[in-house]
Amino acid sequence: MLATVRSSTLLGADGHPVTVEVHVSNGLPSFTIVGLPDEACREARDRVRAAVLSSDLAWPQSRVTVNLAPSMLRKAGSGLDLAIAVGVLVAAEKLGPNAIDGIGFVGELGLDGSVRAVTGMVPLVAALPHGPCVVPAARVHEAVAVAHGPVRAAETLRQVVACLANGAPWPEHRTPPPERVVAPPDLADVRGQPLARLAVEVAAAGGHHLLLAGPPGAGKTMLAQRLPGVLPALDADLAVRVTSIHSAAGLPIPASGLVRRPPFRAPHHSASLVSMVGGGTSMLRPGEISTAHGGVLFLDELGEFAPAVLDGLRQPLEEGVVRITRARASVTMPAGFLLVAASNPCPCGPAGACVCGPGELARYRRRLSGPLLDRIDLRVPVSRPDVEDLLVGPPGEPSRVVAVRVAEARARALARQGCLNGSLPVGRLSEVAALRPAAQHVVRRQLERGRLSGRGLHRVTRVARTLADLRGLDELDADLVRAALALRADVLDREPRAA
Amino acid sequence: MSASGAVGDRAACAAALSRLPGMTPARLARVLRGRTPEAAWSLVEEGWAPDELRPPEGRDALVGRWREHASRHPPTAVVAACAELGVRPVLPADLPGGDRLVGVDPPVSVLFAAGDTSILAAPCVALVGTRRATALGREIASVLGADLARAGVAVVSGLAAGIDAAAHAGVLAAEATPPVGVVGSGLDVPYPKANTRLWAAVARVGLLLSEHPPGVGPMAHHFPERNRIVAALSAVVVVVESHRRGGALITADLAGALGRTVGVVPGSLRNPAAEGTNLLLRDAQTVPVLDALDVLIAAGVTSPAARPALQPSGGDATEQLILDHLGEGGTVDQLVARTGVGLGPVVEALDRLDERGLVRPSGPEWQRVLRNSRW
Repeated sequence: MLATVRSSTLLGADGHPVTVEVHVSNGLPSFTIVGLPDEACREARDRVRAAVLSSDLAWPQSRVTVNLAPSMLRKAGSGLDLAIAVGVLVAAEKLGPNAIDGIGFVGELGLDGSVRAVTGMVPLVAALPHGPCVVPAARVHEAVAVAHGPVRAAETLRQVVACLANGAPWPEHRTPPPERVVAPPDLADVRGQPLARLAVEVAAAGGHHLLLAGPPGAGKTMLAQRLPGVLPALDADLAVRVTSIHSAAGLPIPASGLVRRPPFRAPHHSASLVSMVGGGTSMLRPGEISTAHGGVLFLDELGEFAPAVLDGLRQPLEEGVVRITRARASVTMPAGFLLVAASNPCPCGPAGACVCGPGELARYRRRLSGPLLDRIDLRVPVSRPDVEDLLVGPPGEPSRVVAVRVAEARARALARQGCLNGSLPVGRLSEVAALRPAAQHVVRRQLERGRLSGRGLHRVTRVARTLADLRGLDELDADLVRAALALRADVLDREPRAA
Repeated sequence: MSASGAVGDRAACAAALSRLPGMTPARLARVLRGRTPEAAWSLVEEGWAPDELRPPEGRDALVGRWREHASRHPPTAVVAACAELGVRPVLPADLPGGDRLVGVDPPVSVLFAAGDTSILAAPCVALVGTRRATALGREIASVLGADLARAGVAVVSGLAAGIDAAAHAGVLAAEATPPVGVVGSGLDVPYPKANTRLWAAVARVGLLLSEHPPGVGPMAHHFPERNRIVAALSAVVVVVESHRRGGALITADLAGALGRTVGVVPGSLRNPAAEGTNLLLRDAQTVPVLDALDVLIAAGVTSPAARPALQPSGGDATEQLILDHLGEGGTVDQLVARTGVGLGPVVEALDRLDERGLVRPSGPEWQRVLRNSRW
């Protein structure tokens, strides 16, 4: 007899529906799985059989064939276990076919018949067809926000069978204990450093990538960590998207079921290319740039990252998505992040007492400069805060006040041009960001002295547009352009230019 | 024996002698003592070496090697090989102002030149200093070099890393009076490698000099020897930055011994690269150098009366406050903290000062502009 069960599998950040077809026929007892299963999926044979037997259910003494359709799609991981087990039971006529009609199943089975959580519950459940779904009890909260029908908690195979066959009540949803609420770091902690603070505000308001350069201990990391706190909360669509990615990447999902705050990802500089952009095993896991989607990707010690890793950021920075192509599959994953990079002025650290040789310095700068730096609008020197500011200075403006300005500026930009200023196309600059004569005078001098390139001018103009939006101004006057230029210092160049 | 008429037999023979195995400037001086280069060459060809030479391998062996070498590398061939590299041998006496090299110890017998020797007719000033210079030191060297070149001075330097290279880079950027480089290896062996382009540029627009024939690599003892030529050619030797011990101090000593004026750029007491120069200022007879005008006055090119009175800087209170608090440079945030003026006014004042050429961005920091700030 034939049974058909709905389930799904993970590829990249997305779930894909899978139909599990189980056929039980006369013949030599056997159990085969076809339809492009990966290694973990193929191992389902042993888990499913043991789980069924452990649950005091009979394993059919016949020929069992499982087909995972569509067969062109690579099936990864152990999330199909539950669906296969249920399918075998239906095909062996231990369960009525009506009991599973229109129900989706996701979950891994233990040898003892327990139903275990799998990575990527959110996209897996989102990919199930309309109707109820049965998911591991431990991850019910992840499924609720995206499910297309009632969510049923599965603790053991035995319990699932009982509920399906006899209409036993499904277990109550277990809500995980609420996470300890940790107040996000606040900009009020930053004393002095007005330019660096402004840079954080502008980055948040305009979606401008930011490079913070300065000696160790100047507060680069502190500033970067406060950027998500001034970004607006994720809207509903984005929250689902980000939650899916985080789930696919195996990151913890908050008890509410949705990631609502912009993520802050800070991979160590030893990160590999695959961990950064995504890929890897057959399911093509999302990388750091995708888990930072909608939030901030913070690269501390930018110069210490492998050159290939930095090169790998270029296309995502440009397009907001990353395309991972492998021989068996290719996926496109979202990678719309705000890049915040931090760097020492030289490999040895503190400015002023630099002991680096000129060759060393040149190599370090070469690694940082070039195409990646070109895409960073804001480059700000961060100097150690003034002692007086640290000891007796007033606390800085708190994040919630800055966040209000940021939200208003973003709303202005979106209402005017449909995108943030950081991604404003060059062709629209003259229309929405025309410079007044006094401002033109300021940039003309910079252009004439060779301190500003044509591309640099575009970036300065975009930043000036954001500064204007933060102040609620329409016109770009000289003071805005001056501030924008100050936010684009040549922070890595400590050599005097030729006289 | 014959030699190319274009270069002159004497220079050709001297060049060929300088290429003999084991030859040093001191030995060459011995060989040429009381003899013309032609006469010395004839003797060597026949099998001869000065009695005073006591090489470890024995005099007879040396004489044999010299004779054998002389038969394979006659003066004509040496000159032709040099010419292929754009290098020609010259005798000090044939250089403009060549008498400056008289009295140098050990004597300079022959030089290899690439470029235009007539530059030596201009007043010459040496800019020397440490190879491990600070960014500020390099900037000062570069600005002094450019200002001196614009004032018609030929800047002499050793084309080493650090101060030397910065000085010549400044001279070349000024596109005025070309520079003179005196180096410690053959003119076809740029050292350090990073300065290869600089060497080529100096040879193209200015003059490169070496005591060593082409093909000779840099040896540690070449550099003090090179320094004596730098000092001798220059009316003033300016030390920009030097550690407590350094080749630049040797050059200053040699310059003092030759009766040249030694100028010294004072530095911060905290700067280890200014320790040697500050000690020179305190302990030796030197002239403090704050700008190119000081050098021009010391060189006798300009009269002290040329120094204009200090001009009030003009500008508003914020601008003055920033100039007062700029020190050795600062980021915008540091200036806000130091002056107590808000971010907006600081940024605006910096821009106006920049427009007037009084400050400029250098990497993350703003700095006072050094060039012509006082004259």
